[in-house]
Amino acid sequence: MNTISRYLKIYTMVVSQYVKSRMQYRADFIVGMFGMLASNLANVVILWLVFTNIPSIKGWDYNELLFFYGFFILALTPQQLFFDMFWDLGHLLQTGDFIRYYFRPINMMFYFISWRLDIKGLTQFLVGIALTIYASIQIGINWTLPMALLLFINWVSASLIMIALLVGSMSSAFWIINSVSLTGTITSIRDFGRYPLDIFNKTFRIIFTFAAPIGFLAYYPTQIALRPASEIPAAAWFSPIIGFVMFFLAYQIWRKGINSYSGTGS
Amino acid sequence: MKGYLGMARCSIMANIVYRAHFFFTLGGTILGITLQFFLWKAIYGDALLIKGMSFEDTFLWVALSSTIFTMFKTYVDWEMCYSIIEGSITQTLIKPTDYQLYMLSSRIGDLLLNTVIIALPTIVVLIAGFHAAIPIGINLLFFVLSLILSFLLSFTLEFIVGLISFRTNSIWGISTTKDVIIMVMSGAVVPLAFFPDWLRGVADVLPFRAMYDVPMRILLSENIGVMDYAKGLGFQILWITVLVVLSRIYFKQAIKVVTVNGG
Repeated sequence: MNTISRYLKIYTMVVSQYVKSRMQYRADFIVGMFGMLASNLANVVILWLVFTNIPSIKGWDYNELLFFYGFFILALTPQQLFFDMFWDLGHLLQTGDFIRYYFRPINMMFYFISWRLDIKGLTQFLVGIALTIYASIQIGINWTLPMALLLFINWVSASLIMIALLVGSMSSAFWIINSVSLTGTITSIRDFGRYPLDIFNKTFRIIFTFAAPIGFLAYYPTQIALRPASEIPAAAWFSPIIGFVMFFLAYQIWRKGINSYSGTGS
Repeated sequence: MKGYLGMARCSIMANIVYRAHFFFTLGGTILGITLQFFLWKAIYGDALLIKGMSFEDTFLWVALSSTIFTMFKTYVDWEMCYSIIEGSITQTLIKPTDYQLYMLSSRIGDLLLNTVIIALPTIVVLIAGFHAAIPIGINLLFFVLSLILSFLLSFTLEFIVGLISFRTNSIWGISTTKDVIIMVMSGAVVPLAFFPDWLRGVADVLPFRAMYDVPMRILLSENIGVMDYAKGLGFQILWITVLVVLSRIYFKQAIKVVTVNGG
């Protein structure tokens, strides 16, 4: 308990410095919020445009796709809010500035991420909540307490996958220069995780379930709310744990990386 | 002219260093197109035609659009914003060159490399792997012409966004907003034929259509003639002229508010 409160205190201290320094650029703050809103809404508009022409995609209707998308961006929120520092990892390694994160007697990943809080993630969170609630009313989901609880745990797990994808791919910066390109590519593939897996052929369904589990970002975790219990695919029951496994793996890559980094000598 | 050519050469040299970047981007583009194939296949389901377009038409349309999007991505707005934050813009401004032309020529390298290393292999994959049927004839010539105009338009829009960043000192938000408006309103992600009439009417008069809808229509439409090509190119030239004039007026304004910290 003591450790947690100590970490919380450190986090608030470091992050409040960051927030203060960003407050100088108020336009940046507003424009960033607006950009996030625009890109979230654009994805809704795209879905809407498609569905003005067809009733359903592989049996899933407009509202169900909205529900997937809402859940998807909710799962993305923790990564967006708290792990934004990772996009700079490659640059910090090359300039040698990364060395400064070694000199604190606390968990290094924790100290590293506490340097930034990406506030525009809050916009994403609000859009995600609004979409999920709107879609669940339209679909007429019958909420029960166990279902809501399981969905919440699945959301934690899906968020950990999002975090793991960023941490794992950006940590490649310890060995390769182009980690940002690699992460960008993984991000654009990841974005297909907001569609039902049924749209893909068997090969990709297997890959997206077992190898690159983007099926667990929105599709599998939400099955409990969208289908009767008898029709839920077996893989969906693994939703609560996949995120923890993925995060553990990504954390190992990061640990290997920080132990092998030798600085730039300056 | 010689100076601008030299600039273009430099940008090729600077980019070729990052071979792995192109490798990842190419891999990502091809994988992305493969996934789009399944997405649109699922959208079509049993339908043969949606708004007069077959699955093959639509897939080729969106696949080529996303290839062109990657090809045009030269991050000029990002670079302009960083040059303000870091102060390196002063070194460009004291040169006896036109700033806009300077930025344009420094992008030519990115464009050529993107074309050779990303766009062409992707098109080969589309034809060989997905059996995409691109009509071959005089349309190819007009398509290339239209694509060049489309790039100029894309550059000018990014340039304007870059100028706005002189004021905001930030780029992610405005650049993202610009990207999503272009992607939706140009018919790049969903062809304009799918739009409801009222929204189609709005998209028809806006400049974004000139970036994707016009070149794609020239390339892929079977039964249109030279007059239609001319109309499309005319629409592009009109908007380029308007936006270039606006951007130059705005540049004069924006450059006055530039504040660079230190040097």
